[in-house]
Amino acid sequence: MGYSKNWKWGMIFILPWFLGFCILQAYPLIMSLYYSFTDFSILGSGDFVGLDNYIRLFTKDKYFIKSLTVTFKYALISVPMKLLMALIVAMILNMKLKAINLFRTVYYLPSIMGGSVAISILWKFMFMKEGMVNGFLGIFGIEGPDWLGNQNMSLITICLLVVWQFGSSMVLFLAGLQNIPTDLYEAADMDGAGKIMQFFKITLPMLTPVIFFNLIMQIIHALQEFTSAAIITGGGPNHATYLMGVKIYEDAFRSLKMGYASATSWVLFVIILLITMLIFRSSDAWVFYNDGRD
Amino acid sequence: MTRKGSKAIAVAMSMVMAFGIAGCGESAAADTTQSAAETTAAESGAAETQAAESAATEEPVTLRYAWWGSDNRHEAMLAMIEAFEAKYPNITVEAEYQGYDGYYEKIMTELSSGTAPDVMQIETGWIPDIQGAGDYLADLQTLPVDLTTLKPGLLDASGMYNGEANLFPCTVGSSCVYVNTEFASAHGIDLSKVYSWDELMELGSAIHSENEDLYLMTADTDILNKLFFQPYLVQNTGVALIDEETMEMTFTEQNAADAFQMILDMYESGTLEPFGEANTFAGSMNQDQRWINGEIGAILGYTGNAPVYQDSTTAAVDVMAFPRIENAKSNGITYAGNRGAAINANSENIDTAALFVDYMMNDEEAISILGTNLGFCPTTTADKVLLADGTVGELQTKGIELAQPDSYVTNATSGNTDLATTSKDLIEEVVYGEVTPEEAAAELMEKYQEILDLLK
Amino acid sequence: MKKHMKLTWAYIFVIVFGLIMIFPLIWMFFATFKDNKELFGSLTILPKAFSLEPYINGWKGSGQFTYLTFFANTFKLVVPTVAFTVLSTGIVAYGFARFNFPAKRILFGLMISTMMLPDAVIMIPRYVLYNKLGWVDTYFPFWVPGLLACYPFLIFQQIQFLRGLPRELDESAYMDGCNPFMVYARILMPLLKPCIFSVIIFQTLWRWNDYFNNLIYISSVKKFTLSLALKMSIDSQGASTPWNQIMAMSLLSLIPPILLYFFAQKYFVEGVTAGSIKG
Repeated sequence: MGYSKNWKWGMIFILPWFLGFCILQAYPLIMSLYYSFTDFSILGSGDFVGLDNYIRLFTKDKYFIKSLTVTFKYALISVPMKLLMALIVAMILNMKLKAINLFRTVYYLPSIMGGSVAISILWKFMFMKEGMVNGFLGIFGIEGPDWLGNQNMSLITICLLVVWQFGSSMVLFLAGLQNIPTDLYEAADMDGAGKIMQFFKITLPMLTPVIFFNLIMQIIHALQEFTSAAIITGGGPNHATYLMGVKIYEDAFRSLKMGYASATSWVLFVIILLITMLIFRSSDAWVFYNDGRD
Repeated sequence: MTRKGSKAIAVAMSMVMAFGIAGCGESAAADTTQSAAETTAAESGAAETQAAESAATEEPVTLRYAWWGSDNRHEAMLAMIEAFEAKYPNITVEAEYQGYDGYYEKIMTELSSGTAPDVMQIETGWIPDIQGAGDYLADLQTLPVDLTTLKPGLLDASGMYNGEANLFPCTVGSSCVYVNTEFASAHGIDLSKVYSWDELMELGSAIHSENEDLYLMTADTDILNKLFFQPYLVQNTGVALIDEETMEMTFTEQNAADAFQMILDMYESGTLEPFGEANTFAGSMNQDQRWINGEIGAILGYTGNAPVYQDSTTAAVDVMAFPRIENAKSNGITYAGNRGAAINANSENIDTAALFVDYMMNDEEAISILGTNLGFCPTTTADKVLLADGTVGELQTKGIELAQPDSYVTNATSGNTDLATTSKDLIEEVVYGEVTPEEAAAELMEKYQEILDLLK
Repeated sequence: MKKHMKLTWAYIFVIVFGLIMIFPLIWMFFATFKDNKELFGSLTILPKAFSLEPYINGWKGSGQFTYLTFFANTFKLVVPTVAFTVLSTGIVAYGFARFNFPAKRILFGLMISTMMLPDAVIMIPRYVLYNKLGWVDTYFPFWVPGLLACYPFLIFQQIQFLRGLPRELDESAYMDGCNPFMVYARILMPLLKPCIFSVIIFQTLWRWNDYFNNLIYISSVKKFTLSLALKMSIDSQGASTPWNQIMAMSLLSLIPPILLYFFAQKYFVEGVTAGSIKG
């Protein structure tokens, strides 16, 4: 493949990032890889231990596999739910309703609140055994589960929190919807295509770059998720919400095993990289770009 | 058009360059100051003894002092610093204060990069991590800090590591049982009695079977480990969990199995609020709705937390003695300071830092300004000043008085984070029925041994 | 008729779900009037009494500085960072999306992969580096990464949107004598408005709520931002926390991002339909 006519311009344009990468990002990345072969403890200088950390991870750490399982479960539940939710709401909020600005803002509120202390207290109130959600279910005679204390429920509860904060994906879908030229719909209307048909034939294909982006990003984030579990359950009970992000953080800053945490992180890195590459490979088949390339 | 575009890029580029250069310039400057400071530090080390006097007259010095706390502590500390600065006009103290969350991470990061403050508040439990990795904290014995005012045994129990005094404990405390007095009188809890664990369970079982909504006690994993599991073991042995000389466990597998069994029984008898429900409030049991509403009678806690429990429920809160096994060799809880002031060993102004710590802990003016906001009377001077003007909280005093006589002295290794994590993990597995107490005990012994072998 | 029904359903949906969405904010608002016992002890949403005291006391902050300082600091940190980020990530995205140059795939892969390592293990070496650059206790650790486009998420996002724009647009601009930079500034950027506004919103929110980086890099209380200030009086270890004041200040701290979102969102719906995209 040949380079484009103005390829030197392209290189100039990416220069800020390239400098940023070389000056600010490369060193920490390389160091963390180096630490993964040492017993670095933040304070100590760290002796080289070869592959010890990696070997220990796969042979001696019974929480590694558990944590990996929990993380995959979390990603498998939360990512599709969040994207679906975001897409549906974006479609509706793209309609010409009265006070639509207000609604769009209201739907973004949970995301604005992020992982604040208010959220962590509120979430406990909502989902504790005698909390608001179970009180609400009680009205219909349903005895609700112990959302946070039950090993089988707590991960779902964490997922609910992040699904409820679907705002950023929604914003991207909304922005994506604006990029679909209206004349496509006009033409479809003239051809007599129904709304559902239009959704599948126009909206969805035109949104695939955004869907693709959201999917990649949400997976990368989900596999590293830390905040939601840290503020609500702290990884418990009995490691039921012990996400990789939580494990890495605790190993690094609680047990001060930065070398070990780095090794765990690089294993996670490889996993995320493989999954991302897989999705990138598949994108040729289902992502539609308007720029007439690839 | 073309020229305009390239001009814009040129401008952007030069901005980037300028930034790069500015960054380098700054770092070079910082390096120089640092090396200059090192020289000063070396010189001042020689003239250590006169430092206290000379610090008062020398040129301007700036100290950085970091602590965590609540608004009360922040305000008291700032007032104390003001008084200090008035006394030593050439010294400026820069206060770096924040909440508890993140403080540990921040201090660790700063220590590792040599940017730590001159004086910092740290927890006793952090010292092995810090000093084990390198010489980060100064030995107060070599500095002009008067350690003799500390209450007997306190320095050994909480400030010493490897023969160095790395911490001036700023508080003294122990553990006790916080009791909701209304709950106690309604259900016949005798506040003056020393209960055994079994008696507590009998009582708890009776209360819960009478009214399903009520529980005698509640606990999160951390409390289960530090205030159920460990005291139970120590009550059997009378000594710290790990013998630091031999690096061996002092308790037997049977002891551990019994301790796990005791915790399990606590749940099965309905004495403890179900684990899952309680654990929702892990780290802040005072927020447990049942406790607030008087449906839980008691919580095992630290004497230093008295204000938290006192304020959290409408009924009056009292303290009672710690539960124990029959024929206990000690009450299984420590009498020590879990927090204190440490001096950065690489501080540029180490003697001024020492002067400041000495002022904060030993000066009567400082003590009366700080009251109990920094901690609970670690020194005899503090006793004299604070008991006289009645600033000392009654509940806290009582809790400590109850605990002190029969307490034991723990050591740094017994407080190791990895050991604690191991027993906490196993406690949860026992509570959730994944392993039996016997299996848990066997695994605990094995894991502990592994960790201890590494520590050797 | 049919259309009418559909709208009604849409209204029912947005209102019912809207209530769930706004519930935390309402709860938080009322929580600012409760003392700790009422806050944690009961499930009722309405407080027993209303008083402005939590707002007044909360605003005073703890110690030397009021929330005025913390708000001002947050703006000082966030506004330049966001401005730099928008400019730098936009141009980098353009470079990746529209040009084919040597090693592009590798560089793109490198950029995306910098997102795949958990922050917890990069934190320390990054601190070491920034400390060597003399940036500790300044806002440079936030501004410079913005300037140097260290936000691959936002670059990738803009690449995806750029790729949704037909290349014919560029070609015709070249015909008119534009250089590549002009093509971006004059033709593509205006069409990317919805995307760029979402970049502004995301970056503002992240920086506004970011706690850990602020914690590590900012030591002087006089430079504290809101996210640090909100936690500076919570000592879970030994003192009871005035939650109503913290809730009150949290609520106030949400107002600027909410306003930003409210006023920026009209640009999400002002898309290419208005412009000339039919290349």
